[in-house]
Amino acid sequence: MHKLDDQKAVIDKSVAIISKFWGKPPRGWFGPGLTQTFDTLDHLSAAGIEYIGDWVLDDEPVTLKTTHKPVVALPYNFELHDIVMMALQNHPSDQMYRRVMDQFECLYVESAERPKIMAVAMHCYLSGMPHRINHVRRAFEEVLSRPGVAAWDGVKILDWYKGQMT
Amino acid sequence: MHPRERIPYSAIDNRKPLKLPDGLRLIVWPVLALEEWDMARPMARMVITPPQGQPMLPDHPNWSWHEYGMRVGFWRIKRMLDGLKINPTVTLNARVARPIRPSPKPAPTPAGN
Repeated sequence: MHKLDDQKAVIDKSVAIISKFWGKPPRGWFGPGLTQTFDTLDHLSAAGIEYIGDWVLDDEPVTLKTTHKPVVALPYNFELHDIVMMALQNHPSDQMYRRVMDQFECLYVESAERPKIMAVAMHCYLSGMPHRINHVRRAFEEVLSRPGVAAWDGVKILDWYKGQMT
Repeated sequence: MHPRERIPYSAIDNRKPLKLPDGLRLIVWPVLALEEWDMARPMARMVITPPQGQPMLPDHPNWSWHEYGMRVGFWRIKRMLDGLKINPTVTLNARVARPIRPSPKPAPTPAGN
């Protein structure tokens, strides 16, 4: 986002293109490379964005002040993330499985006290490779087989959190 | 605005716990990114670096690597997620939503979910 001459115009154009394609406006935003400047959130809020995945500062959704409406930061992470793991840290193919399970076992114990959310980030040119896909699949299979665990999308998490705040 | 102006510090253990419905305790949030890289610019990621380490444009090898993801990898991931009955969040560059390629059928649920 740092190299754009007119950040607001690019955000508005992106939202307009996706709205036309999808038939309704997007409610969430992930910046390119998760980048933001000090003003980005204000532009996003003005464009109707309700949540972001760019901030990884908590285990729970949190509400961020903007110059327009508040924006929720959902608990994304840069650790269960195939670009970080595979393209930057150069780990073997099964690292996604092993790291997801390690992360999960800690969060699952802690989730007895308070709800936990565990994001898993996939890119087509990494997780979609034949030598990686089965490791990704068995990670999802194993965590979703445990009692009290479900897979939700961002909007479902957002709407649940907003319901908790009222 | 500085992040500290947007949100004050808060220690998680000092907060009242949120409550999930239906006996749930942990939510897995799968996020699948769809990307269209601009051939005119350096590629977002490089799986292979050019000889002598000098970035060169156009970068065919790395562009084709990402294109494999869209032509093949996406559909492999979609089959996996469908098999697990997972509806992921799909993030995409707005470029992916432009009519520069035949629209994939069946179309994925796009952006922002």
